[in-house]
Amino acid sequence: MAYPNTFIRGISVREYLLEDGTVSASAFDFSQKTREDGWKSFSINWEDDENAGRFTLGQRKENGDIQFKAGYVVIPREEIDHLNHQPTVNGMLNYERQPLVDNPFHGNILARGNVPLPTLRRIQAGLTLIVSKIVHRD
Amino acid sequence: MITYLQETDSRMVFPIPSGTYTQQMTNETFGEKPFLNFFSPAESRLIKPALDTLKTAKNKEVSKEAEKALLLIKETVSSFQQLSFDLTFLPAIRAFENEDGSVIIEWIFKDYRIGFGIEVDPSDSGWYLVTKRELGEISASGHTSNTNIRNTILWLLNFIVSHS
Repeated sequence: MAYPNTFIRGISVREYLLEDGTVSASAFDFSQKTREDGWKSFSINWEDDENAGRFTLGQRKENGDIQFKAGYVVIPREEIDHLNHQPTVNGMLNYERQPLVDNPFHGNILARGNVPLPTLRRIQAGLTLIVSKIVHRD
Repeated sequence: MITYLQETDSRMVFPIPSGTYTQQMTNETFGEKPFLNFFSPAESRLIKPALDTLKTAKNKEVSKEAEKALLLIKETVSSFQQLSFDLTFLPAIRAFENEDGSVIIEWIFKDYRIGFGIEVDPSDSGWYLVTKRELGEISASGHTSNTNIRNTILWLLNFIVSHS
């Protein structure tokens, strides 16, 4: 499957984007539950074209509230590939495209469900170090 | 006046720079031992933002554990300062609450970050250190349960000092 060079992670919690231009590891919290195929996940939008960012900021919850109140961050796909090939990560990560009826950009970053939580937190922190762009809503 | 601190085991004596602590005589009449308050305003700044976040945390047990970890970090930093290490460059530690009530304590530096995951199930709690390519892409983590967290904090602080 073809993937673009970058993906977007929408940020709902304002505190996760810090005033010094960094982002908290909490912004990349994986789902508590492990899927039937053995992966945990968090949602992303693939940056297929220049509309993906604007689309992400425009996403709304079922109740009409803005989904990503803080903004979003961008991560290059090659950086996550590089991270995944590190000896201390070694294939624990993956990604997928999963378009939804109302979101053609949608996908997931995946982590193996049997990864201990301290390792998962370390991977989350590793993701913060490869963020290439932060877009604040305001 | 220069005050000296004697480290008991080695009997080495280190001078303490004046101004790093305040001396309070709480009860002079009965000759009470002076209480040395080694926590400078800079150290309070170190964990205050994180403590403020924890005040409103949903899970009080997690919050309590996170506070313990923060105080231990502060204590370790303090012990380094007593040995005349200049740690005034240390950024403030931050705490972030996750959706499930767990908390991530993060110490964010330019080329690396250190963190503690305080989980709802304490046996899942842990620590991590990750660095950028400039520092060799170090990636280390471990559980904090059944380990001496004090030693882990000491090791992490040594990393900070040697990379400052």
